[in-house]
Amino acid sequence: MPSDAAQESGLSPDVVPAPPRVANTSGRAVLFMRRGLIGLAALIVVEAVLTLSFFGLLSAHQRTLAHEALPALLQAQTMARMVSQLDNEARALFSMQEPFAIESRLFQIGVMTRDLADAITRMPDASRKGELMATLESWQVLLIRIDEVQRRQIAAHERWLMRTSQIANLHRRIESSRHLSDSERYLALDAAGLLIAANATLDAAEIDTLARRFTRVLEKTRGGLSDAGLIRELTLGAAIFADRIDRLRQELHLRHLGDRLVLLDSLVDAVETIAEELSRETQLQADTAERRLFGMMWVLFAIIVAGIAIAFFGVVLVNRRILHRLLQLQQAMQAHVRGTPEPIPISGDDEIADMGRSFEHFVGKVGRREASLQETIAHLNTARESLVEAEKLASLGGLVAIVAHELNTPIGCAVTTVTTVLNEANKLNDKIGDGKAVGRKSLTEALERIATGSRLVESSLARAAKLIDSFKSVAIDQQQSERRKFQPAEILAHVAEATEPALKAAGHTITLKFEKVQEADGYPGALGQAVLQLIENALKHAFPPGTSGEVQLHCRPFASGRFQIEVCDNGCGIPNELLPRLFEPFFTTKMNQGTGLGLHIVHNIVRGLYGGEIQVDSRVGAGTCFRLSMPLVAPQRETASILATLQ
Amino acid sequence: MRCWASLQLAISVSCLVLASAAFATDFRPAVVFDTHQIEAAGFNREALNGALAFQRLHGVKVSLLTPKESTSHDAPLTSLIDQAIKEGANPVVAIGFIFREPIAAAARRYPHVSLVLIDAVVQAPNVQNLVFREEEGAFLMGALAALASSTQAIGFVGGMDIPLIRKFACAYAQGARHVAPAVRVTVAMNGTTVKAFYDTAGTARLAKAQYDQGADVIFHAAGAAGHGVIETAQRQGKLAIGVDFNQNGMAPGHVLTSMLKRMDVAVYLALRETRDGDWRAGTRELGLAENAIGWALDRHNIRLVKEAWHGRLTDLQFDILARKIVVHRYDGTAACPYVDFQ
Repeated sequence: MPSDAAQESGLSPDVVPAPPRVANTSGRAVLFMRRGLIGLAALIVVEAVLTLSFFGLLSAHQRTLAHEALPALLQAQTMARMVSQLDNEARALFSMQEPFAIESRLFQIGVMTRDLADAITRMPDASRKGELMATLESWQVLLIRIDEVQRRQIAAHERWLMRTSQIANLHRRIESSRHLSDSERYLALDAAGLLIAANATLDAAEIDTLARRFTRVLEKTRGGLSDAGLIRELTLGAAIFADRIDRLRQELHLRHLGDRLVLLDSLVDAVETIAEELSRETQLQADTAERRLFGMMWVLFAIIVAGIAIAFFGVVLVNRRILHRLLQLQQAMQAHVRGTPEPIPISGDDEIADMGRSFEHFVGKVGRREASLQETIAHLNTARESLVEAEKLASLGGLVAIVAHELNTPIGCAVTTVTTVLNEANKLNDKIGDGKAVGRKSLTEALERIATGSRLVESSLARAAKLIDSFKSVAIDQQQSERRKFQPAEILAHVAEATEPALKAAGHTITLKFEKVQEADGYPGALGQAVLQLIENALKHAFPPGTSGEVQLHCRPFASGRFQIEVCDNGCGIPNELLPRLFEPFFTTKMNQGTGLGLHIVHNIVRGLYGGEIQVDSRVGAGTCFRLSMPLVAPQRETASILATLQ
Repeated sequence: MRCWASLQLAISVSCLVLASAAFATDFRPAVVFDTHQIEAAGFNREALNGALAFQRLHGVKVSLLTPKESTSHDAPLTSLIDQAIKEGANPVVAIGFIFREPIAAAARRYPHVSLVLIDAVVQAPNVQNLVFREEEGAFLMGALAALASSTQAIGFVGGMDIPLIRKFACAYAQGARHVAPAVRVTVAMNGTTVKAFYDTAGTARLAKAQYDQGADVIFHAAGAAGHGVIETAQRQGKLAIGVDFNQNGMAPGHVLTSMLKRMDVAVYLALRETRDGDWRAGTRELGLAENAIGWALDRHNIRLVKEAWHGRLTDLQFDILARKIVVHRYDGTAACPYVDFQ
């Protein structure tokens, strides 16, 4: 490819050096970057997976807590509340005396017990269920026993009430009996008193003593008591001691059954243990989850640290191996762009080094190409200068031809006339030398002819002198680069005068129309040259051969500090598509007639030297108008630049 | 002379009246302990509970005095009583038989101060002794052990071999025989010095031997050394019976029950009676009837003590209260008919 380019550019292909070697470096830096990026991406993926699993673990734990542990704890609490309620109900049982009240209360307790049993059955923890159910069974047995003892206690109480009234009756009977002697009555009252004491005592041991005393008293009375009925009643009353003992025993039993209500405490204990175990288990689960999370956190932390370290080293490596070298390469490239070349870094064996080598190769190539271009441009410039020179010479040559042609007529006329006058003079001299008489008439006629001839010669020479003066003026101005004050109309008049013969010769006319314009300060020579070029251009291009046309030269003030020069013709006009290229150097439609520099020179003078404007109006078939808008005071220029413009 | 005599009589009578009035108005009770660790479970803790209950119920400040550290010597305890009395305490209640000598000394030095000694006896005009009818409790424990024993072999591990402990053992054997005449009762003592009340290794060894010989329930009356028995019961999967205070919770499921010597009841009773002016010198016995002796039924053993056994014990208790059963009271003077102590 580089050799192709060289061929296209027209450079000789044999000087192109070989392109930099394409080493097997394919993708070293790229591979390095790619591997680094893949590694980082893998790290991010691992971190993401770990984080997700953290959340998974957390939510699983939350789920367990919400769906198992908490409901179980609530259940345990409910059970504890039920047990405590049961305890209250059962304790109230001991203070009841009415059988139906006891029965209904027991019924209530039975329902509550069943509820509790149901709650226990629903418990998720199976290990303690058996124990709880066994306790509950014991509780039910205890309830039955309490019921039994309570009933017995009530019966004993009723019997006691009956005994109390029995004793009261007995007492009344003893007091009211008329059959008893005083000693008998005393004994009977003694026995009855023992019965009353036994019926009232709380000390079981005392009852025995009282019973023994009662027996002794009864033995005394049995012999001599006159009221047999009373004796029978007293004997029957002996059952009071057994009843009282029984009552006290039942009371003790009942009290001890009350002690057994601690069974409910064990139930509460069991429920509390379950709750504790549940909460401990929950805590344990939470702890395990926390530990696991903590462990995973460390792993994540380690991975993040590793990731940061890897990223850091990656950045350092990328910076050193790629970015830094890329920057060096870029700086070297920019330096080349700026035109202060620096050595291009080409060390290494990867893509960047390749890029450096390739750039270096191209820089070399571009340098060579530029050198050859410079050479070409120099050639071209020389050629252009020669052409301009040639044009100028051609222009001068044309002028000389015109001058020669113009002078030919008056000078020829003068020579002929002078020859005639000389002949006349010689003839007259001969006549005088021969001594012949010269007639006054013939002398006068001769002198008249000489005078006429001389006048003719004088007018012819005057005409020639005038022509020469005119040409001289144009020629001198054209060559001058001096700045001076001038009247534009004068310059135009000279140009018109200089070109008129050529125009006339071609059958064209020139019309001048000068308005009063202020004195200008600038380069009249250059201006004249520009106008001359325009007129010549019209002469050359505007009129097809065999036609006669008109060139109008106008000069008028224009805007403030400006004047306008108009060079118009009524020729064939310029096609629109050519107008934009009109002032390009070497642009010509008639390759064999012009150099294509004329209008370019005009453009240079008007725009470049004078800082004026140039405008072209043209219609095909109607003619062309060049309007030069010139400043009255041209900008100051260096002589060298003026000369350059003119050339 | 007669005048003088009647005057003296009048003075002494009025002194008595004033003294009792002083008791009523200047009632500043103090309770002295033999250890500073009264918060720990034990009979001191029970005594403390009694004092605190009295304080709370009657709004009377009860001074609690403890030595700097536990001691088995009399001197620090004597100075403790001195300190209490110097601070104006009256009555002074001393907890434990260890105060026997210090109280005897204090009784001589401070004849005007009412002293109450719990769990020991000092004969003095200003000392009230509160003792327990431990044999009643021990009898019930024996009965319960016999009821609970599936091997019909039960054991007893005592602390120091002294009449008090033998009293326990004797009544225990009596109770067991009462409900199960064929039951085998093994009795062992941990030693003959005070150390026997603290040597848990010794009691553990004795208990293990008894369990190995087929006993499945052992009653200990070995104070702090009883832990050895309870621990062994737990290790062997057998039953033990605690003493003095509730030890059911020490090894739930392995302590059948604990015979209670209700120190709290005794202390409360002593304080209340003194305040009410019912303080009387001499010895007062506290037993089942006063609810000062009993056995513990709580959440830890409710399922161990079957309802039927409980009913049986209730009957036995009633019979003791009704004196239908007379529990043997071993005092060293006569042999125990149920245990051969050699």
